Amino acid sequence: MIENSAASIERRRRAFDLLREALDVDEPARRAWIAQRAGDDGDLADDVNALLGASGAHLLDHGADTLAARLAAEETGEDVPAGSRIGAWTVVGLVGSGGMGTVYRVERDGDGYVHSGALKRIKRGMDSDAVLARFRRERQILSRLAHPAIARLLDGGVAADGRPYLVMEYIDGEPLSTWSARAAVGLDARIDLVLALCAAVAHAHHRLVVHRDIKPANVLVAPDASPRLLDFGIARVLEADTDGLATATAARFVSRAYAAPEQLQGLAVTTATDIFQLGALLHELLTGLRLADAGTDATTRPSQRLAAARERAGALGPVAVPARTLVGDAGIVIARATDMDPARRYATVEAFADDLRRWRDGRPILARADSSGYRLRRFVGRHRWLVALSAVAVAAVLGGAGIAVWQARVAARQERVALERAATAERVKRFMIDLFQAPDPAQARGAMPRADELLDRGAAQIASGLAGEPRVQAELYETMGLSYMGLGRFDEGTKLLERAGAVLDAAGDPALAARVETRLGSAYAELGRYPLALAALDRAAHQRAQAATPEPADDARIESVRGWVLRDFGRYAESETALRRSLELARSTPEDMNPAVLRALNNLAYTLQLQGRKQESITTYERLVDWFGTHEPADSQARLWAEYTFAKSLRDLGEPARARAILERIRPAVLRVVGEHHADLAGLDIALGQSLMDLGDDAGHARIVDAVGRSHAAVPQKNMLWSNAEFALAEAEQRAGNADAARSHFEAARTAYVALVGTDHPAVRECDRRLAQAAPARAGVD
Amino acid sequence: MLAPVDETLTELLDAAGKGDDTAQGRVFTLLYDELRRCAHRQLGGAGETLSTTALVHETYVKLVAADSLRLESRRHFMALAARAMRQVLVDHARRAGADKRGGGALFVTLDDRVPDAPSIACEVLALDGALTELERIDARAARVVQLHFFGGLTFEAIAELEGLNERTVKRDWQAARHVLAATMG
Repeated sequence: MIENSAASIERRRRAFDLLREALDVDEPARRAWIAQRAGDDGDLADDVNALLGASGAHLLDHGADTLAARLAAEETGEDVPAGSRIGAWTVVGLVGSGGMGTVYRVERDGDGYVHSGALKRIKRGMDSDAVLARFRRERQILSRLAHPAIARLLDGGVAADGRPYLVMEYIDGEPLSTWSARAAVGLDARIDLVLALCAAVAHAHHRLVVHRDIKPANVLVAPDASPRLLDFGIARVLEADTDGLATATAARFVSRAYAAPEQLQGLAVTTATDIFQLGALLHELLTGLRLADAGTDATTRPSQRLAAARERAGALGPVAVPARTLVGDAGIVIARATDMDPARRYATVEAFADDLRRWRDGRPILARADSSGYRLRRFVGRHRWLVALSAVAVAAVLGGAGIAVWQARVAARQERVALERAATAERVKRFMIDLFQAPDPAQARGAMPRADELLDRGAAQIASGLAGEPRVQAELYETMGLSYMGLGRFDEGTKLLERAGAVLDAAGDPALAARVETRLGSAYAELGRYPLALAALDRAAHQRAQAATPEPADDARIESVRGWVLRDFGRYAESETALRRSLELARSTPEDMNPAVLRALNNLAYTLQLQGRKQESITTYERLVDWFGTHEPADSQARLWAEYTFAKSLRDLGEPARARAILERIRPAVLRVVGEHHADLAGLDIALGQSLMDLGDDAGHARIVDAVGRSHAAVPQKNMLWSNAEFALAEAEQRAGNADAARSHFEAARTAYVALVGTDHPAVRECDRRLAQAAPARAGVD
Repeated sequence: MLAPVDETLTELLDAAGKGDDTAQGRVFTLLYDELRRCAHRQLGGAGETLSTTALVHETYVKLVAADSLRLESRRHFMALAARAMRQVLVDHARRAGADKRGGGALFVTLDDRVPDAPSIACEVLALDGALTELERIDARAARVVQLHFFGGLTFEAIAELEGLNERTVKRDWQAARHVLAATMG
């Protein structure tokens, strides 16, 4: 963008004057001369040097005569007479010409019969070697595309005159615009044509090939009204290598009328780009107006936009498609497909095609504001605690596609890898969206399916619906497994995580395998199966070592979980070591407070508390809570968790008043996010009851009894959480003077602890001490 | 019809030389129409290429008697003719772009993609924009580019017309090329 302020013009004038003078100075001395003349205006010197470095504008080399000649040639096209040979092909006749070059019908003998092709001579000015190299690189990928609606790429090379050419399967059809202009072509035929194109594009996407230039000129229609998509993957062969300045060039010369916003911005092209272009093509077929020309009038509702565009097209629009037939959902489908933000478009071509079919059949579409993505987000919103406690789950699935796109942006050179990730993320996301979609959308509107129903439905579908896609299966098993864990269904959760690990053996993705093993480590820890947990964490660390790219956050998580397992195991010193290591890995600077750091700090504060290092523990908690207080909303789950654990520790460290104040303050928010039956709300109530008892409030006892009942109902497995609740109940009974009850609960807690961690554990010793205390009291009563 | 134009053109050029904007505008329109007619005729013939220098010359010969113009008027004529030629080419490029975007329904554009090598039409439009920018920075250098490139005048002829030393004209051209290259990207 050129600045036009008076000051900017003045600067550019000075640069120009200096440049003109500098041209008189011999080149070796020029830079020094410029620097000297510019004095302390270093920017001026930079500007002049940049101007001197600018080359290009080559059309000025030859005068306007040449330019006029080229303009004229571009318009009339140039001709290779019939019978000429280009590579192995013989020219039969001219098909047409356009901005990129001229297309000829060609033939080649081989295998005993004549092959027909459409040969495209790329115009001058393109680097032949680069085109050829890219063609060789891409041809293998392109040869994997075999679909009736995709015109195949047959050959490519450089002709004797040095100009590159590409040969495609010859299609005997008419251009889409001609077909579309026919009065007889009705609405259904237009939709069917786009659906056929969707099937072709989906075929390519499953093979990780993106078209990136879908537009009417690239579609031919056969006499039976079936479309053929031309030029699949060819944009890639012809594109410049995308480093540095080339991005801007690419953006400038892309065919603007059909380009997706990300292409105009020079950002990564993904499957979402094709979805945009299919949506734009549909728009044009239905209304007669190009999407780019229809304009996006924000005041017009999406459901009215298509009809408005059709009105505007008037006699130029499709005769058989009156405006009134376009009012309603079709506009919403197109708006979703062509959203400016790639992440907000349909996740897959199939999803777009599916909605298009729904609209054609008069069924409710899924792209409505109150469905699919929105429903999923709403679900995540309502079950945030569940989702966030299990740390990824649905939110990560939603974010997954975005992350993949981002990866594609930062690593344009690794586009293939990024595409693969994006494809997996999109498959996962789509699966989740389908899953969260009740069978009958009309009936289910408003009624949210229960989380556990969804999970049961989903877990059953992964194995059957996604066979042969281990990556996708693994991601889903992992997601579902974590969701089960969040619901407290640890057995099911662990089973699914184990299954995720098993399918991943075949996938050859150590980074993903490490992540799953880490989750499995947490799952085993939840179940109190600590040796299994530590073994899974060792496997995770081993897989991390095999992974190609460093992921400090993943390394940090392994150590963080290890710290937690070792703490539950009663090995506090080792726990502290692991947690400090996690902290080191997670931090890029000492002040860095990313999620992994926060998690490690939270764990560390708890370990320190159990070691009885009161002041260090409180300081760590305070640091954490202070950070959350200024960086996250009051109902953020991570912030609530930090405050909850801080309060519990405060109570255990002999600060019941502070603990009570925090717990009473956060309880409404916790209730809102986890619901009344969750073990964590019960845990909060236990800590609150304990604080009340510490403060001499008798209401504390009843509160604890009730809360422990709820905790056991939520988590019936005798894991660490169960044992701690049981211990709290025993302690409450003891303080209330109910010696028998206290005794039996201490014994139950002790039994559970021993089963979990053996006898050499602080909790077991504490039970023994309490049981010993209880005995004389009982004797005294007797 | 040509006779009154002859007379008027000379008068108009005189008036334009004295800073009459309306006169200038009318000369420009005259030249533009004439150049476009000539260009169209040339492009219509198969195998012919368009020679802008010849066109400007032809127009000059046709519209004004060769010796009847004072230097000042000739200066104005050449400047306006070069500008008109630039406009003819720009409009041509625009139309080419418009055709490609679907103006002609029967034209089979199997590939109207514009790949990384810009089409000549795009380049012409980019040059036009860059030249407009240059006019704001250094009007004289922009004039030199216009006369040399679009008007087909030699540096020597430009120097004579503008009353400059030839070396200065060359420097203007060189410096302008750098700036245009930088602007066009």
